[in-house]
Order: sequence, then structure tokens, then C-alpha cells
Amino acid sequence: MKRALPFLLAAILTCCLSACVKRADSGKGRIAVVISTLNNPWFVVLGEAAVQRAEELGYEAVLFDSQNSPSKEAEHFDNILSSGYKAILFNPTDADGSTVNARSAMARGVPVFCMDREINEPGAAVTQILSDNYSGCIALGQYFVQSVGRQANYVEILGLVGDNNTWARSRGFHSVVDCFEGLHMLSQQTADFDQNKAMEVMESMMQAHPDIQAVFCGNDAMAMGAYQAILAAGKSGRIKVFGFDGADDAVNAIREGKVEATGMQFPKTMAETAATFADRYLAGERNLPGKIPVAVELVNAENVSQFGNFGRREPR
Amino acid sequence: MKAQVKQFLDKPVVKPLIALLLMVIAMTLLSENFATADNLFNVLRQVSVNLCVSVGMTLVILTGGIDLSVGSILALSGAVAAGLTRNGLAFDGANLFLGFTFWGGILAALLVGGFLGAFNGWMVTRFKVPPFVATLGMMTIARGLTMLYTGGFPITGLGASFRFLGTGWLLGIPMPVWVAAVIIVFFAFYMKKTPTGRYIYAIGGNPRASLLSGIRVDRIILWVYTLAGLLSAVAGLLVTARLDSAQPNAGTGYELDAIAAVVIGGTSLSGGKGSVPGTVVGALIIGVLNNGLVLLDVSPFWQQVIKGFVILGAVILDKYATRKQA
Amino acid sequence: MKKAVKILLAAALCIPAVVFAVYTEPLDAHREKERMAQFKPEERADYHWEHDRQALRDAALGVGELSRGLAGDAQNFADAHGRVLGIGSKTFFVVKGTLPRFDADEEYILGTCDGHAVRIPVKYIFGNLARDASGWFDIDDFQNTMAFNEISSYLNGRILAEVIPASIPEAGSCFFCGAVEIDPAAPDPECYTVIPYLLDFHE
Repeated sequence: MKRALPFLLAAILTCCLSACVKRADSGKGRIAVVISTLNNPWFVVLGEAAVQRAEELGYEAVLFDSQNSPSKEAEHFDNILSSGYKAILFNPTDADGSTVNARSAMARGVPVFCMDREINEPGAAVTQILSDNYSGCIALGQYFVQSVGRQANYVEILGLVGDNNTWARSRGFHSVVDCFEGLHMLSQQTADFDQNKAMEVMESMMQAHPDIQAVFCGNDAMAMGAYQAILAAGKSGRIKVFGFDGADDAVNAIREGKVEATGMQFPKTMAETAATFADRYLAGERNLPGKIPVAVELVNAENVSQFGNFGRREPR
Repeated sequence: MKAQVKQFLDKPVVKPLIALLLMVIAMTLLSENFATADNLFNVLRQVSVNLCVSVGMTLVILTGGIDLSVGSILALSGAVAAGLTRNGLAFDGANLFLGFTFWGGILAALLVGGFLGAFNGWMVTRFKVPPFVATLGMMTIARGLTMLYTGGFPITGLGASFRFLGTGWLLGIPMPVWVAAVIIVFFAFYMKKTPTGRYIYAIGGNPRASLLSGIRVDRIILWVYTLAGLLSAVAGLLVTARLDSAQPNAGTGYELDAIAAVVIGGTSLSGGKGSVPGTVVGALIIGVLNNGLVLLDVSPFWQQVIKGFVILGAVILDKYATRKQA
Repeated sequence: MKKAVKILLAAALCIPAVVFAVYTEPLDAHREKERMAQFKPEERADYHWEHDRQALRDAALGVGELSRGLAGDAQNFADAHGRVLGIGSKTFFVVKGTLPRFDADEEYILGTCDGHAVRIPVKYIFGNLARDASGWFDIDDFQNTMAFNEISSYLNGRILAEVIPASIPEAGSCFFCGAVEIDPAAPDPECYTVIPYLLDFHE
């Protein structure tokens, strides 16, 4: 009887697993949507929009979460490449580290389409649909100067340092703001695009520099975190907050006057474009552009009524 | 005849092996993509990192200790190898640039891993710090050092040799699998056939008796932790090569997977009982489970739950069977 | 004896290991090699800047042409005569014209051309407009968008240094040829902001 226990265990396991198995029909094939993290609503929208569009085009789409880890992403790619997926809609975790994964997929004949974040090797993906973060932050920077004035002290909270977007945003912002000598950056720290970390970073910054008048955050999650810190310190209204992304909570905050401005990225546009391009490639088209920047629009108190739900609310 | 079969079934590696075979059969029946050459090589490749770490962990656990720092040592060794190979060392005063080749990077990684492992062993033997605490401290220290060294950035663009190590094939088998295979064969032999191997078992089984019978317990424990560090460094090289980049948070959580593999493979956490082949089977069980659940589209959260139950189940079964024998 | 053998063996292993592990070269030579490998926007942009601005001027729309074209079916006009980058709401045009009279403050030259208000920034020039309106660069030719954006900074720098004169004349007329961005959904802005490729002042 005791000898039979391992067999019993294995049998129970098998039954549990059969219960978990989902059987799916093929249609035009399967497309994998690999997203860097599903911990951030912006990326959830990106992933779900891609899945939805792919399914509208007749494919079965499966969502993968890389949990911000290139090794998890590598595992996903291993599994994708041995499971017969037709194409990969890819939101990379790291501009350099993810290159290997994309390259190995392309080498196996599975086309890769990057969404939102780029990889630093042009040939490693068929098309990269990128947010033009640099221009978006130039517009944001110009509004920053307009709003805060030509003389002020501010701090900057960066996102993940391995993401090209972080630096594109920072450089775009600085290319404008650094032209004005009266604007001083007192501190620049990273909070990894995370709301809680940004709150802690902002608290420390406010302790170290009591005369902060504005904060520029690399994304909206961090902007909301910074705002919470400012509110808790009783300084709301005295420190102006600027974010980037166009997330719902930030857009609402702009409407309520808590946050000054953000840049609306269009995750649904990027995801839908990627899915459409994948469909065109699989239908035989080969002349697809290597990179497509998607413009980012400035959202501030004046035009906030036009935006919401990660895009434009109404026709212009 | 019945006695011979019973004797065979009593060998510690057999029960986990049967469980593994049943799982493989189940997965093959449940998913059309499991039993393909592609996928099986994927499983082996993914398991090879855990195998390297788990072999080291087996040795440590056999002496009655534990090593929680393997993940962090993995990260630091990988980072050092990547950093030195990519950037070298610059000496402004002497107008000298010291470049590191691929082999130099490997050597540096092994030195780092070995040194940190030896430090662990020193804490345990010289200062009598409990292994849990000593390696917990090292886990944080090594992670901090990795963050300092990399500045929080990944180190990328490591060149063709690293890429070959991570993604290349030799005689139809992926390189990481070769590395893991060599390590497994070597250490299986080492534990069974060399005096040091036998001493390790003795120390874990009965430390006092070993000391009294003239075994240099402290020296061997120091050596065991150093080996664990070296093997973590090898794993770090494999991880870095696979991604063509050294990530500052590489290896996070790897100690748990290693301990799980060791335990499922039949090694007792109190020491003295277990084997390297058992650990190999344990790691394969985890690998097949991970891979199979993903192929079956099981939600990642359910995967965690199932994995936890498998570990508990394996330990309970093992204890049950042992008590029956006693 | 045994110990000596051990030491010899260790040396025999260690020395080749170290030799194969590292190599040396002079530090300045190494730094020079690194510098050569970096991306230099001048290499890509200089040729166009030196040679292709006249072609831009020849192909440019008049300000009046632009405003009349946009007054009709703005989207069609934009598609036919402007350039876009990727997916976005703005179209870029190259325009030319003359301001018979102008005012110059610290940041802009202001005037009217063909009935439409025009301003030319002279102190702060930001963004990718100059790069994208020219049509000289294809984003696919660059390794990543950061490199592509460096082209913009470089062009903006050259405009500020070479096109905008150190001191702007008080009186006279001003000929300009430059880039302007228009959103076809809002085709009639109060004032066209033109980033100049060419600027000429006459008495």
C-alpha cells in the first residue's frame, strides 16, 4: 500500500492537470503577446488591446507576463518557439537584454513586432511601433516652463534605467528645460516606474530639499506616487507635478487640478498597429517599415476634457 | 526476487524517478507540444541553471547546513564576468588598459563565487554562525555588491563567445546542458567515490562521531560552501550568457528552487542522507512541472500553488516511507 | 618532492590561465577606439546641411499657398504636400516667404507674410521639426531613437549658430525658408511658427 503512494500522487496530479487543460481551436494560428509587466494598468491596456485586435483578425492570442525580468521573458520565448506560434507582439523588458530573444525568434521564422519599447538592434524585429517619447517630453518641457516659470527649483524621478524610454523622456525634457538657466534640477533619482517607490523617493527628496517647486516624473504611476507624498507632507498646491503616459488616474488628477500635465501615449493605437502589421506580414507583405513612432500628445488642464481611457475621448 | 525488487525500490533516487516518469507520461498525453525535441531541449536548458545551483546546495545540505546566498552570488559573478569582459579595467596613472577575454571573465566569475562561498564557510566554521544566518547575510551583501557594481543597470553586449555559451549547440545538445551534465557526472562521482565525498555524508549524519574519528570537519565544511559558491558562479555565467546581459536582479529566488530540487530528490534537510542523482531528478521534476504547466496554459498563479503542493507532497511521502522502514 | 610537484602543477595551470585571461593595451589607444565607435550625428547630417538646403528652398510652399490649401480640404492638402513621421496628428511643411517688415523681440522675429502671421524663433529651438520636415533622414537608418533624436539636437544647434544672426537688424525685410508643423484637424492656427533653414535680411 505504501509503495503505491508515489503512483497515487502522480495519478492525482494528472487528474488535476486534466481539469486545468483548455482546448482551443486554431483559426489562423496563434499569436503570442509578450508584455513586460502586467502590474501596471497601462501595460494591461497595451496587452489586452493587442489580444483583442489579433482575435478580431482571426487569430488566437495568448498573453504572457515577463514580470519585468529578462530571464522570465527568455523562458516565455523558449516556450513560444516550441509551441508553434505564428508571430510575437513584443513589449521588451530591456532594450539590449531582450535583443537575444527577438533575434532567436526571427531566426526561427517567427516574426517579432515591438510595441512601445524598442530594442537596440534594428534587424532583430520586423517592425517596432514606438511612442515618440522624446517629442512628447519636449512638448511637456515647454509646458513645464510655461507653467512653472523661468525661475524655479525642481526634481526629476526617472523610470527603469534599462529602458530607452526613460532616457528618451528625460532627454526630451532636458533639451528644453536646460536652456533656461533659472530652472535648477535639485535631484534626479529613479523609482523604476513604480508608484510606491516614487512616493518614498519623493518623501526623501522633500526632506533633503524643502524648496522644491515642481517634480517631473517619468511616468504617471510615479507621478501619482509623488503626489501622494506631497499631499501627505501638506505641500499640495505648492509643488507642481508632471507625469507621462496618459493613465486614467493621472488624467483624472489633471481634471481635478492635482497634477499639472502628462503626455498621452496611445497604447491601443500601438497594440492595434502591431497586430495589424503582424497580420499583413503573415499574409505575405514584406515591405513593412522598420520603425513607426506614434506621437504623444500633451494633456493639461486646458485640453483634458478631450482625453480619457488611454486615448482620445471624442473626435477632435 | 521480491527482496531484490524491494532493495531496488529502496534506493533513494528511485521514488522521485518514478514520479518524474509518470509526470512525463502525463504531460505527453496532455499536450501535443511537450514531447517534441524542441521542447525537451528547452526543459533541459532551463533546468541546467538550477542543476548547477542545486548540486552545490545538495553538498551543503548534506552537511546539515543550508545556503541562501546562491542567487546573489550567481548575480555578482555574472555581473563581474560581464563587466570585466565588456569594459575591462582602466588604470589612468599607468596609462594601462587591462582587457579581459571571455576566459578571463569566466576565471573572474569563479574567483568571485569561490571567494564568497569560502567567506560563507568561514563564518560557519570559524565564528560558528548558523548557516541559515550566515548565508542570509551573504545573500544581502552579495546583492548589494551587485547593485553597486552594475549601478542598477544591466551590462549588455557581451560578444559571440558568451552568446555561444548561452544559446549555442554542440553535437546537437545545447551548451548549458553540456555544462550541467559535466558538473552532475563529476559530482556524482565525487560524492560516491572520493574520501571527501564520504566524509561529507559522515559529517551530515553524525558530526560528533566524524570529528572524533579524525575527519577534519571544519575544513570540509569550508570546502563545501566554497564549492557551492563556485557552482553558483557557473550558474551565473550560464544565466548571463543566455541573456547576453548581466542583470542586477538575476538569480532572485533561485535558492528556493534549488532547495526544492534537493528536497524532492530525497535529500534530508537534517543532513547525511541524499544524493546528487536524486537532486537531478528533483530539478527535472520541477522543470517538467514548470514547462508542462505553461504549455497547458495554466495561470502563473496556479503554477505557484501546484509547485508548492508538489514540494510538500514529496517531503511528506519521503518522511512517511522512512518512518515505515525504521 | 610531492609538494614541489604540486607547486609546479599549480603554476603550470595558473600561468596560462592568467595569460589567456587578460590582455593589455595603452589606455589612450583604447579610449580612442571607443570614441571612434560612438554615434556622431555630424557624420549623417553635415552633407545634407551643406548641400540640400537650396533644394528645400526650391520645393518650398509659399505661405499664402499653405494657408489657402489648408483652408480647403486640409487633410488631403497635408497628405499631398507635407511630411509625417509615423502615426501622429501633425504634418510638417517647408514654407518660404518674405516679411516686408518685422519686429524682433528676445525670442522671436514677428511679422506678416501673404496675410498670415508668422513668427521665427531665434533663441530657443526645440524638437524634431527641423529634422522631420526636411525629409533628409529615415528613422530606419538609425540604430535606435536616441541616436535619431541626437540628429535633431545637432540640427537645432546648427540653426541657432549659423542661420540666426548674432544681432538681428532693426529694419528692412526678411526672407525666410523653414519648417512649420500643422495639425490638419486644427488647420488655422493664429500664427505659423517657422524654424528657419535659411534666413536673409535686406534693406
